[in-house]
Amino acid sequence: MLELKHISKWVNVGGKPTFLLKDVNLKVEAGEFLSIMGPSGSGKSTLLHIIGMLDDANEGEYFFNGEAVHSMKEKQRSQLYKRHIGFVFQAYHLIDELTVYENIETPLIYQDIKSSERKAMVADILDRFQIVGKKDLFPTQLSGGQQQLVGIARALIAKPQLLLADEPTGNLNSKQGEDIMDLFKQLNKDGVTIIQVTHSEKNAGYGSHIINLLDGRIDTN
Amino acid sequence: MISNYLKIAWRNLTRNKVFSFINIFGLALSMAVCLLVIIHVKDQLSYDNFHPRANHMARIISQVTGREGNSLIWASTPLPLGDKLTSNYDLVETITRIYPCNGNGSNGVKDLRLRQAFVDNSFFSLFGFTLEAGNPSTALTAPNSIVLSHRTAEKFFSQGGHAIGQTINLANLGDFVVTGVMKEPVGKSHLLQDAYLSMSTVPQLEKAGKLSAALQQWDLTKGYTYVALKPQATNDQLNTALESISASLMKESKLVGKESFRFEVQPFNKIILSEEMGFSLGDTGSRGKVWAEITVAFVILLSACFNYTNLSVARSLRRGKEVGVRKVSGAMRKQIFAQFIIESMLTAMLALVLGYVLLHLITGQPFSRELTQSDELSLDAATAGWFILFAVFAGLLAGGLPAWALSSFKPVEVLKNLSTVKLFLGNNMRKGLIVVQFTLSLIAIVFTLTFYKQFDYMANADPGFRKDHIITIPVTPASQGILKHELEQLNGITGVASISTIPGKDASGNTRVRTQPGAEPISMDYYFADAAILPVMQLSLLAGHPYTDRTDSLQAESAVIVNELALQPLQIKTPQEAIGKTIWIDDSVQVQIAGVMKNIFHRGLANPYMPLMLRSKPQAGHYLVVSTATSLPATFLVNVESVWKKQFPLYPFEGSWLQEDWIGRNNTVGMVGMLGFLTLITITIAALGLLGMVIYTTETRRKEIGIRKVMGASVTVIMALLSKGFLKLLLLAGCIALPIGYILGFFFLNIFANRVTLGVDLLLISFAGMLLIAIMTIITQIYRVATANPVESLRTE
Repeated sequence: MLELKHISKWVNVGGKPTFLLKDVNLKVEAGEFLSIMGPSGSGKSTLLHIIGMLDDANEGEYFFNGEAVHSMKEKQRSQLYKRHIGFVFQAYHLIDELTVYENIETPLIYQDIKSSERKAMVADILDRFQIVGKKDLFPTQLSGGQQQLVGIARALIAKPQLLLADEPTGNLNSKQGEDIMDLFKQLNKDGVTIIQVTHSEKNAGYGSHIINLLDGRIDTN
Repeated sequence: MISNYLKIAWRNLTRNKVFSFINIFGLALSMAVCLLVIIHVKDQLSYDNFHPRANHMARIISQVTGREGNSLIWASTPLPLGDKLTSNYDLVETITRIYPCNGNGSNGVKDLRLRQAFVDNSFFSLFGFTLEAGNPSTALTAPNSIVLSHRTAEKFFSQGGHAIGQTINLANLGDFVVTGVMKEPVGKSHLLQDAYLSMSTVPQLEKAGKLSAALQQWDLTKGYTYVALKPQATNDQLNTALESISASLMKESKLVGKESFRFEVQPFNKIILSEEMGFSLGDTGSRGKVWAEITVAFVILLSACFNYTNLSVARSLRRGKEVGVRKVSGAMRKQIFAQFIIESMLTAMLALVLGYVLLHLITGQPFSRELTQSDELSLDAATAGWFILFAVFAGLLAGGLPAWALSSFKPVEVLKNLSTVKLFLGNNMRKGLIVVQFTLSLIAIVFTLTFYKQFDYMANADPGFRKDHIITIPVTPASQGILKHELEQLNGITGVASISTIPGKDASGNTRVRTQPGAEPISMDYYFADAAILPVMQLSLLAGHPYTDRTDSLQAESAVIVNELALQPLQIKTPQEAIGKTIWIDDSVQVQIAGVMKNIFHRGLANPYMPLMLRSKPQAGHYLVVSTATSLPATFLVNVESVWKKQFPLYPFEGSWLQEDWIGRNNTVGMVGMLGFLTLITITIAALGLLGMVIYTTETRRKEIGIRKVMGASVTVIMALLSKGFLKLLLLAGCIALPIGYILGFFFLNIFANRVTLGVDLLLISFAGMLLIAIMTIITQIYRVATANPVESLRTE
């Protein structure tokens, strides 16, 4: 599904380049559930952002479904990712001013989907995640686990092929975390490719595949 | 999608009530001023739009170059120019001359002051004025015809229709027959005459000596020429024709006193708000004033818009996350931009509504009359359209920059760590903005206080003559004798005198006085008054005695009273020396100086002492001046009125207390109110801007403050730390504004001959006032941040 070839990224600190990622090669097949592990500052999040097209690499090639992402214009890339990729954050990043319903609806608005169709799609996912009763509440009125559930619903609403999750259980207690991981497992079974960044060995174990990052390089495959 | 944006904008507005209030209120204040200006400008531009051929019409004006090379533009042109133009050139289709000649008119019952003008009979075919009675094509053909404006006809004849065929007697000009009554014009016009007289009357009046010769004189100042061009003719052709006329005239050089002149075409629709001209006709508005209003309004609007920008920056720290999430959800930059623009538009529209409410509150107040000249606020569709267009403009102005900046946020950066986000608008620029806002406010405070002090002084200062316990009554010279006699009998009246004009505003006239025929003349103001004026108005004589009143105009004028200041140019050293000296008035009248009186401010306190003389002339008094010894002004005036009513039951009594007139004349409540209002708005907006800046700064320094508190800093230390930066800005504003304000005030006061001093105390009070307002603005926010729990601000997610 996607392939990274010799990806490097660096920032200049005091005139000298400091590498965040160095010569990373990675291939992810459709249907995989990949866990990226590594200590703080090893470049996990940077790698995830590059895969999610939120960030550019300084060097290397990136192919998504056979298309060369690295040579695409901003607009094409944005079109590509808004159709195929969903994002889940550690801090949920729900918009406080919007209700649960509206938060989930947001990506559909930006994909120019008609109002009636949007309604059906949101209703469908609310039902699937069993949060219909919460649809008119604001994020601050929900528990952390419920907020993350909304975050995942939002990431999935546009039916992406790939779900990227940056420490999705980092702010949750263990029970909530387990529920979320079980949900991921279920989603993966239903055909969604998942890449998650995690600190936890246990959560990494839910994946079909683990890579370890250390100082910007892939340590063991 | 729009409805979605609006929903979010609305939720943001209602959620952040303090911010929304600051934004909407600040914008609304500035908008109220702008709306006032829009109404005024629109009113000005609506003048003279109703004339059917306005686009083909023009006025001819004169450009005069004096001997010193200074160039003047006069709106007037010689009366013979029209004939010359029509007989020698084939450019003009319709032409009318306007020859103003103001005076009193009477129908035997009422006597009214009329703004009147002689015009050619083509007047009504050239302009869009229409008649409600009479035939427009012939109304002004025959000599001694008069066409009255609708209002004048109503004043004379209560019902305009009865006016046709009636006779109006015009002072000095004779009897005129009413041949037409104008309809109230559909729009406003700069031509405001109450009555139009047929130009064909002028030759006989000149022959009879009732008018000085002008019709065949190339006198640049007498008349006005309006034309409508033929369809194929252009303004350029007309200009060329005028050029050759003035060139040939220059050869004959029949014009008096001016070195060089030429005529120019002024397109008709450029008359309103044209540059200032000499001998201007009617109400053409003031271009300078309009531009000044627009500038002031725009500066205030800009100030308020920058506040919006400032506050948006402060909030961008909070909104940054939302931008990031939206972008991750697939939003394009233009969609984010649109969202924030819609939010600022919504704010602007709400501000417009509030501004309109404020506008209603201030219309009818004395100060707003300075601008709108009306107490009623009528909103037609076009004005409403302009208002909305203006609000859209304000929304773009205020929200453009924040929207552009917020939409440029990179999701990775804002979602990771907000404090790494680079904020637009450099810190120094934002600080500079605060300094500018407070500098403007402080200048406004200083100037307004100076203005107020000066006019307060002028309303209460002593002009050198008595103004309390004095009643003035306008009278006709013929009728005053009996009234004077009756008033003298009234209990409580200590004296009655007759004078041509009431001192304190203007003199009756100005004439040339020489010490002997042929000597260099000095210019001297004069009043015609009887000798009783001296005790009545308490004008004290330094030497000599009052003159004896002339009872008959056949009796030659023999004596005058001059003021002290007149002595020096007459080369007389002491008042005593002056008594009995002979002087020549206008080379023809030889008089002796009977007395010398103290100087008075007869032209008002704005002007210095000027040479003045009191002259005796029978039946020249247009006012009776009555001195009283009463403590009940209101009831006493009724007593005087009843005396008047007994003599003149048909005429309204117009007597009034001089003291009240004086205060009224020097009363600038309107102007002071306007300045005060603008000052209040600038300072409010500046304070709101400061508040925004404080919120922004404290927001970005929360972490620093948290660390300092953990290190042991006390609340007082933190508060001092946070306030210091702002106080520095205010001091800087003070250093810039106070000298500028002082200089402005100084130049302003220089207009007045009698002025207050602009002291350091006034500057310090202004500065202290501003400082107080600023501190009150920031103190709560700073206290809140300084007392916040450091655990909150140091926690990371």
